[in-house]
Amino acid sequence: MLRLLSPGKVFLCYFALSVLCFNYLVNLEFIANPAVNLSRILAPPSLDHWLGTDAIGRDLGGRILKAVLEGTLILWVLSFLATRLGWAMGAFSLTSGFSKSFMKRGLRSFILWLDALPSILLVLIFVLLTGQMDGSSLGFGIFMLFFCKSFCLVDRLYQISENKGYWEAHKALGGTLADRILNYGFKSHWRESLQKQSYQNLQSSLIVECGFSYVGMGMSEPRASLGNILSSHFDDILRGDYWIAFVILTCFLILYHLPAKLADLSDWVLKKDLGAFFRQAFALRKLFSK
Amino acid sequence: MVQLVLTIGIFSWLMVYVMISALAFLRWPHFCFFISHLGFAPALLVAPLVLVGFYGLFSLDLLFPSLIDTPFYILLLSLMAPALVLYFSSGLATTLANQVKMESSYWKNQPCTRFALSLGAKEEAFIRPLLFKNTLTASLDKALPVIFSETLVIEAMFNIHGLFLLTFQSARALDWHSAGEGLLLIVMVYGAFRWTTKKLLQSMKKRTAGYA
Repeated sequence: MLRLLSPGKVFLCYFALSVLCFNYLVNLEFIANPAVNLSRILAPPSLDHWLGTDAIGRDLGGRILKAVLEGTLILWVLSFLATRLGWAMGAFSLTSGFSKSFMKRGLRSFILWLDALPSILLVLIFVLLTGQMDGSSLGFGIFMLFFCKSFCLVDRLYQISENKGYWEAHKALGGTLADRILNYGFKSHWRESLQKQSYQNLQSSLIVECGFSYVGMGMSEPRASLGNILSSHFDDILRGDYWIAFVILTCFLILYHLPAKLADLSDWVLKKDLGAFFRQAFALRKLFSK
Repeated sequence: MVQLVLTIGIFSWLMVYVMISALAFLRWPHFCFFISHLGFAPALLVAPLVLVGFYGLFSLDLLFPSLIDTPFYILLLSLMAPALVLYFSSGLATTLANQVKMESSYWKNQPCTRFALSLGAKEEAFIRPLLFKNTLTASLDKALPVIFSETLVIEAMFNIHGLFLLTFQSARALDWHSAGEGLLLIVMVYGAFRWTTKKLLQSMKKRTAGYA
């Protein structure tokens, strides 16, 4: 039980559970292949369709769940990986000798220049480079966006930290830069900024994906995304059918705030030190059994 | 060219809102407290609510009118609502309010302010011009990337055929020439804004360095 509470294993459990749930949900019939029923266009919520139906009679709840599972969750995994890879490459570019020659002058400067561009423009540039306008190219664009942003954050944090007293003391005592970056940076005072960036990237990925899908460049029908569901029902919304707008915007709001709330929750759990609580409980149990 | 004018029109209205709200925040500081708690809501969320809300409550159609048969002043007035949505959804309102709060508490405790007060100057009259320039440039500099990101959604929602929407529609139609041109223009406009705010910030920093 104590070992289960270590962050790495908790994350692995979450991941395994999520994969199982994802696999189960994606294969459900009403999500995978929602039936088109033209006799039930824009129907209000009922027992069969909890959130009503869309403009061609498909179950709206199923469509939104499909958008979350096939769009948002996959993009969150992508942005999570891109963020970690960006941090690792940022640290690598600082520590390796390679950085002093080619990377520092060329590639690194190019990534720092890219970071200065607004997110949507940067994603558009990467999408244009792929030469396709579909979900996978959007995924590539978002991956590269967060890779650049994470790379640059590590670089910026290093610029702030390198002149601090204890960094210089460690250097004077013969410590390596990799040690300083790992122990004083990643494990110590960079941690909060990195965590903040991590969940902000999740929020940004949702905004960028929905924005692109809304203008028809990301996920397009029959694939589902909150952006393209909103876009395909925009005329109905303007004609006075507010239910769909309410459902989609509420889902968007929940998903938008979810990463920040999860980060708060994990902070709270870590601060409460549940491990210490269980250690004390085991110690007491041993004492009474003796 | 018309597309560029429309996008610049949105940004111009945005600047008007920023200036008015900066003056309002400095004149009535309790507004800052209210606005700074609004937070940031993406345009994808705010724009449909504004469109539907105005149509439902006041029967006011905020969608952008046709370019062919509409007088120029109506086109200009039609950009007011999208710019207002952009002002809130880019987080500029919140950034500005926070910046005013932060800067006013900083400058009130500076020796130069206390010296001016001892000579009989009014606190507001001395601080307000300084705060106005400082907060305006600093908040614009912070919010600029988000403003450019949110403009696309605003243009798409309000059906404004501006530079962003044109570029994205060209890219969608795989028209590389128009998409490249549009992208280049956007990057140039962004670069110009960025350069201007950076220069303004630098000059403000130089000017206020001696004050503190």
